[in-house]
Amino acid sequence: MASEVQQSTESDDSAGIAHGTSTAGAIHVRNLTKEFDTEEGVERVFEDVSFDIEPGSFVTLIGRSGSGKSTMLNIISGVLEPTAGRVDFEATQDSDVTLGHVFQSPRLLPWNTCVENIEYVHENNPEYTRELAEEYLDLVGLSNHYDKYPSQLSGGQRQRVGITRALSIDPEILIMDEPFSNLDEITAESLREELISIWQKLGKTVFFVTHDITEAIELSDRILMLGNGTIFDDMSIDLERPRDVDSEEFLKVRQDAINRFHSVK
Amino acid sequence: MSTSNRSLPTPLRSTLGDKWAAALISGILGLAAWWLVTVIFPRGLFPGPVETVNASVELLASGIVWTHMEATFFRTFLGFIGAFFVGGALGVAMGINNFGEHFSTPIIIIALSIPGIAWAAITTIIFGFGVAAPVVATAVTVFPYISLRIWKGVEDIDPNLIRMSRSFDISKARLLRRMILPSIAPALFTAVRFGLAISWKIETQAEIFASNSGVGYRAIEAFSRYQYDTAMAWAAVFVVIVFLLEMAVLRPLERKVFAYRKEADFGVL
Ligand SMILES: Nc1ncnc2c1ncn2[C@@H]1O[C@H](COP(=O)(O)OP(=O)(O)OP(=O)(O)O)[C@@H](O)[C@H]1O
Ligand SMILES: [Mg+2]
Repeated sequence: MASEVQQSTESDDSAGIAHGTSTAGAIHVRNLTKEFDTEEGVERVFEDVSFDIEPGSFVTLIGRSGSGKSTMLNIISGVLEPTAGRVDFEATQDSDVTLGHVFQSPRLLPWNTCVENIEYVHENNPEYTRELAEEYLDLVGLSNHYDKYPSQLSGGQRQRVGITRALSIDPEILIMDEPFSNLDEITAESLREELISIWQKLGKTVFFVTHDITEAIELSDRILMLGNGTIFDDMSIDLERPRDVDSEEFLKVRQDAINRFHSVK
Repeated sequence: MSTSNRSLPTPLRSTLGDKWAAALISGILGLAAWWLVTVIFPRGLFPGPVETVNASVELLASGIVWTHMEATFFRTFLGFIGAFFVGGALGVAMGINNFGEHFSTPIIIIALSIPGIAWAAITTIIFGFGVAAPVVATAVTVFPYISLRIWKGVEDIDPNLIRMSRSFDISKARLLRRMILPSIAPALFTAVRFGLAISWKIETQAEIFASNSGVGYRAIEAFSRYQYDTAMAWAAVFVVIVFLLEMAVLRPLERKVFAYRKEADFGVL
């Protein structure tokens, strides 16, 4: 994990994740700046960005292509170092917070089966069993595909294995970078519904990235809008779940979001 | 997924039966061509398949084959191992960073352009007769081919799979075993197969200069005594053994390592 990324622990909650009662899974982003050294000089992606994410909430970061969404996720997941600022987490136990990362493409090992792909990320888990992997695959409807290789699965099924892999480490925080944008709309929609039902069942914090405003409103409690190097808007979505994307309220919220999103060029 | 488009459409792939038939036909055609050459060209000087087989049987019966075969195998293997480690290290260096690439490229280009026979002469001058000269000649001739293959293999590793592994805190050892090795396995197999094939050719050439034992030495010795069938027999016996090595060791191993592709109906093997 990046050196600036600090851990704080929550010692009064040792019995796993309790819905709503603990701060485990909270993310605090403080004064984050990220610059890349490129051949044309220093490119600043964003500057002095701060926000907090409530434990157990579903928060989506939206922004145009190139606005720095993936960069933000990579800093939060420790794959990239920030230029300045820090990210704090609140963990459940006296250990590092666990993050499950779902990528835009599923990033599975092609020479491993579904079960083996899940087993791969359980290196430090002495309690890992094949049954655990199977249970998680059941959760996303892959009960008949335990021992198939990624090339034997459809795109949507592969993406589900990627999601399952992240969920299987029982992370306090699930971060997802446009996980459905490579899929056809029908598959994407059914996976969104699955994701919401899993999220409601397991109560994880989800930090989601997309450039699709409708998807953001359908999924999230809250939308952060990234552009011009800052979070220029922070919008709560109070629609009741399950959400009907064709309902009048939904379309109203969507129009509002679009107006706010386009208010900044 | 990087591997998802490698297979040919099923109708273009042969069934198992066809495969054997194709191999048989190519073998028969090869023998026929050989025989034809002996018929067309001068006066029974060039030994045909039958004479070669007879001479081989004689050679095998005399027992002399094994010591020379062993000497050649041993040196081929040593030379190949040397080439594999030097070539592999350079290849990995080229694959993982710019310095490695710029450092290794001139070495490899120069090494590739020096003929094996020149190395055989040079190493004989340096080491004299014995094991070292042919082994070193083999190693230095073969390593650039291995470097090139491993370099491409390392470059083809999917960086996204490395990022994925890092985000799940996978240790270096596990990354190497579960992610890096399987992705460079095809390059490793090609490197071993071509490396061994070239090694054996260079080794037998080097024996002409640098040794007084081994298959190459005996073949050239027979040749200089006008025993052409014996010279051919030395080569033929070795070819059979290399062929068996391929079928009994390399193929089964490859089939095991790439089982995932076969199951996935990749049909590359
Ligand atoms: N390793 C890097 N080196 C230099 N510049 C980079 C690097 N990674 C990203 N950038 C730049 O940072 C900016 C933000 O990139 P990022 O990938 O975070 O965008 P994004 O919002 O995720 O876009 P998309 O929606 O297309 O995925 C881009 O202008 C990109 O060129
Ligand atoms: Mg991105």
